[in-house]
Amino acid sequence: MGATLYDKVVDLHTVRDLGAGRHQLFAGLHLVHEATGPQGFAMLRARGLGVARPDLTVATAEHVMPEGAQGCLCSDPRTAALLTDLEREATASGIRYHSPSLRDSGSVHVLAPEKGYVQPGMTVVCGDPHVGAHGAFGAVALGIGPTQVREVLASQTVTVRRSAVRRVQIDGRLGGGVTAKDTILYVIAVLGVRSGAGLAYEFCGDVVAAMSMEERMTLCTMVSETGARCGYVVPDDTTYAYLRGRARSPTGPAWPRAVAWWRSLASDHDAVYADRVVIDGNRIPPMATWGISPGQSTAVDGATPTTRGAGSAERAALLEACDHMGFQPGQALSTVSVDVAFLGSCVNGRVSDFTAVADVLRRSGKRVSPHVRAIAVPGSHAVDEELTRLGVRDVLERAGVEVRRPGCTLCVGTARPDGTEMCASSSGGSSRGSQGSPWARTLVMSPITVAAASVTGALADPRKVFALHGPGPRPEEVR
Amino acid sequence: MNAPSGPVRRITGAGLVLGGDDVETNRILPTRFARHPTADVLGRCAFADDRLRATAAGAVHPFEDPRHAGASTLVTGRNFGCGPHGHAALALRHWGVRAIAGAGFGEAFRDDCTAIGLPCVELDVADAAELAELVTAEPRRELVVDLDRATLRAGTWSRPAGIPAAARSVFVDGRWEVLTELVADPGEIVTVTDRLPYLAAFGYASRPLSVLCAGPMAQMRDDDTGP
Repeated sequence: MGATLYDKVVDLHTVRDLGAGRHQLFAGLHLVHEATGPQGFAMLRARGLGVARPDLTVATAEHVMPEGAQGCLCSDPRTAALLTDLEREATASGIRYHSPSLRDSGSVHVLAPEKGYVQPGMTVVCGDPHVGAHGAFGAVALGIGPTQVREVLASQTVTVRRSAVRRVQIDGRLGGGVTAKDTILYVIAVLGVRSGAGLAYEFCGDVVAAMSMEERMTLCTMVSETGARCGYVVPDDTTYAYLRGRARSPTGPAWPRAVAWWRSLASDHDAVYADRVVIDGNRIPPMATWGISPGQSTAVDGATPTTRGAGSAERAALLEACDHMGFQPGQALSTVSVDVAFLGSCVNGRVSDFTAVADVLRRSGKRVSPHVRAIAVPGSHAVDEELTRLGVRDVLERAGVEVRRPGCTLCVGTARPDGTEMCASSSGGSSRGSQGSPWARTLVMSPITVAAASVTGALADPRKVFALHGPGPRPEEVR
Repeated sequence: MNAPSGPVRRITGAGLVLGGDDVETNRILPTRFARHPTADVLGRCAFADDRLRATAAGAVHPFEDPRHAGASTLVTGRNFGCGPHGHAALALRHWGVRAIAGAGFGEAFRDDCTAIGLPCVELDVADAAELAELVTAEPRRELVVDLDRATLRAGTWSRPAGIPAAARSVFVDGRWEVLTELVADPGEIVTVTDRLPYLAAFGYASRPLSVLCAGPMAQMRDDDTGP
C-alpha cells in the first residue's frame, strides 16, 4: 500500500506518539512574525526556556506595518512595542530577523519562499493560518496558535493530529482572465468551508501542473479557508526551477541528490486517500465573494443566491450576509459599486500578481475610476523593488493606483476602508471585520478582477473589461 | 485569566449563547487586535466588532449582557472557530470561557483551545439548538460539562458531549499542557534531525544566515549543478 506525500513527510518528521491521537512533529522551519512572536517569546521566558533551534527559525515584521506610503514605523506605541520586542528577542536568540528598517521584511509567506527558506519535504509552521502557502513546494505547512509558537520555540516541535488526505484534482485548462485565485475560490464554493475538517488537501491535475510557483502559492495560501489542516502540491520541474540558486537551496553535488529525494516524495500511485474530488477547470469563471464567508462566492458576473429552496440554516446565513453587505438575495453583482480596490496580501502580493494587473491596465489604457481609491501593497520589500525595476510601479501609479509600503495592511486592519465602504480585494478573508473596520464590506477576488472593478467602479468581469480572450468557456455560475 | 493547570475534568457554571454557524476566528477576535503585545487584554476584545454592531442596532451582545456575566460555557452552532487566526482561543479564555459546546469546530481553533486547556465538546445539531434555547430562557441555569462522563447537563437535561476518547484523556489526565512532554527528550528530536535529508545531507542550516540573506532577493548562483 502506497503513501501520499503528506504521509511520507509526516512519518519522516514524527518524533514520537504522545498518545490520545497526538504526535510530536519536528518543524523544519518556524516562521515568526510580530503578531504572534512576542507573545510566544513572553510565554517562553515565563517558563525559563530558550529557543531550541534559532537556525531553523526566521522572523520578520509584517502584520502591524503602518498604513500609508510615508507612515512612521513607530507612530503607534503598540506597533512600536511589538516590533521592538520581536527584534530584541530574535536578536538575543540568534534568530535571523528580516527588518523593516533595513527594507528586508515582508509578509512572511511572501518573504520565506523568495528568500529560499522553503523546500519540498519540509515541515513548516507559523503562528498564522496562511502558512498554507508553503504547501505549494510540497511541504507540510501548518498554522499554529500563539501558545504553540511558544512550544515550537522551546522544542522545535509541535503537537499534531494526523490528517487523512483528500485528492483534489483540477482537470482541464483555465480560461483567459481566470487565475489561481479564482480556482481556489471555486474549490471552496464547490467543497464548502467545512468539508475539509480533519483533512489535508493534495492539489493536482492539469490546471495545477500548469501553474507557476506563485500561482500555486495563491492556491495553497487559502487552504485554511476550506477547513482543511493543510494543502500541498507535489513538487515537479516547476518547483525545482524556482528553487535552483536560491539562498538555502542545495548546491554542487547536493543539488541532484536533493532533486532525486524531492521526486521520491511524490504520492505513490497506490496511495490511500480519504476521498478524491475531480473539478473541471474549464468551468471555472472569474469569481468573487459576495458574503461574509469565503464559501459565499459566485461568478463575478453572477448574482447572490435567492432564498428559494434554501434550508433554514442556509437561508439564515444568506440573509445575515446580505444584511451586512447591503445586498438583496438574487442581486446581480454587476450592480455593486466599489469604493476601495486593494491589490496585495500574502495570497496575491507577489510580483506576478502586480505584473498581471499592470499588463491589463497598460494594454487597455484604462485608469482607476475617480470614485475608487485603488491601493497596491507589495508583499515584501523585495517584491517592491522588483516592481520598480520592471516598471510595474510606474504603470500602476500612472493608472491611478497608490503603491504603498510593503506589508499586510488591509488584511489585518493597519489600513482600513472607512465606514461601510465596499472593498474589492485580492486578500483572503471576507468575514466581517477582516479588514479592520466592523462595518466595511469586503469582496474577495483575483487581482485582475480587482483591477476591473477599480476601472469600472463596480464589480465586472475582467474578460469583458480588458478584452481577455483565451481558451476556456464563457462565464458560468457556480451555483 | 487564571491560567488553568493540571487535569480538566468538569466545568460548572452558567452558559452563554453565541448563535449562528461558521463563526470565523476573525469575528471572535477581529484581526486588528492581534497587535497587542500581551495576551491578557485580548479578553476585552472578544467579539469587539459584533458588540459594536449589536450596540448600533440597539441590542445587547451576549458577551456584554450582564445576565451572562461570569458565564463559563459558551454554546455555539456548527463549525465554530473556522478560519484563520490563532488568537481567538486566547481571547475567549481571557474573557472567562472555560468550555465550548457546539455542533462542530474549526480544526486549528480546536487545537488552539486544547493547547490552553479549553475543551471543545461536540453536540448533536439539534441538541446544540435545544441547549441554546435553554440557556437563553434561563441564563443563570448551571451547566455541567463533564469530561469524565462525556456529557453536558443542565439540571435534568443531559446529552452526550462528544469529545473523542483520546482527546478527553488529554484533559482528564492533565496532559493538555504539552510543553513539558515536548522538551522531555531532546535525544529523540536529534534522532529525527539526523535522518532529515535537508539537514543531514543538503546543507540547509549549515551556512550562516547573515551570508545567506545578505541581499533583498535571494542571490542567484551560476555554479550549481543542474537537476
